[in-house]
Amino acid sequence: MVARQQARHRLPRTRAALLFGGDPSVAGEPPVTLLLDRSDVFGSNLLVTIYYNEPLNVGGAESFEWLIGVGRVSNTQEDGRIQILVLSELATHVEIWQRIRRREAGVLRHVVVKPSVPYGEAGVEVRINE
Amino acid sequence: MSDVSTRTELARVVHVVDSSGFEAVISRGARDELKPGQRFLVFAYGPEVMDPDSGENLGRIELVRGRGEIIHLQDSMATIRSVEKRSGRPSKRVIRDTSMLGIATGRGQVIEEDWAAEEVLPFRDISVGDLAKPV
Repeated sequence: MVARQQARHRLPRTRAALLFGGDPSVAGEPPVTLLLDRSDVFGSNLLVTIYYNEPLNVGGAESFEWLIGVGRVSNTQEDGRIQILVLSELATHVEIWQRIRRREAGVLRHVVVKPSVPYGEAGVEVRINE
Repeated sequence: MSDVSTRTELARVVHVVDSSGFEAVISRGARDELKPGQRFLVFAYGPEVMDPDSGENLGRIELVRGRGEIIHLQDSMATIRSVEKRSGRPSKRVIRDTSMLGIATGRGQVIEEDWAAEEVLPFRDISVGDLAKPV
């Protein structure tokens, strides 16, 4: 638990959610771009996983981490901040994404982006000896 | 990575080749030691963005127009073509058959299949004066 909390401190804070870019030929809302603080663990075009940390008790330090989406590093800005283009919003967490799109105060502090993608979530199916 | 101290001076878009927005010309060329195939990210500065929780001004957001690859070099200019693919969940199937039977039958190989054909997109809203940086 302690190691996990320490590791979390190395991850950049999510500072803003913006709606721009994406594929103009695709109807509907533009994709979400998350703006993160500077970090040297996010390389160009890296696939990332987006989590929402739901506090387990009021004021408590423990939280449950929901995987809510997959994205990629679309830009490292000149000021060092990282842009994450959201590629996939998990349908099981539509409400959280709506809150992110509305830029509700307080929601972004629970959003954590990690520079890795769990097996099976990247859209890559790997079968060995099957 | 995000080491801003290593940034070189930004190039500018000086010409958009056609209205479809697949190709553009930037203000760097062979004399800047660019090479064919090098990739640039094209962007423009957008509005200032505020942190909704703290109210802190985060500065001006960079609006990404897309990424392009050098296809033609002149002394002081380079033509880049978009390499941006349709956004979406990556879609690739990898099948590994490393069993003895697979090796014996010649099937002991890695097979990669794209689930959907990739489609290159034009730069989005690119215009003269936009900025470009190597990526």
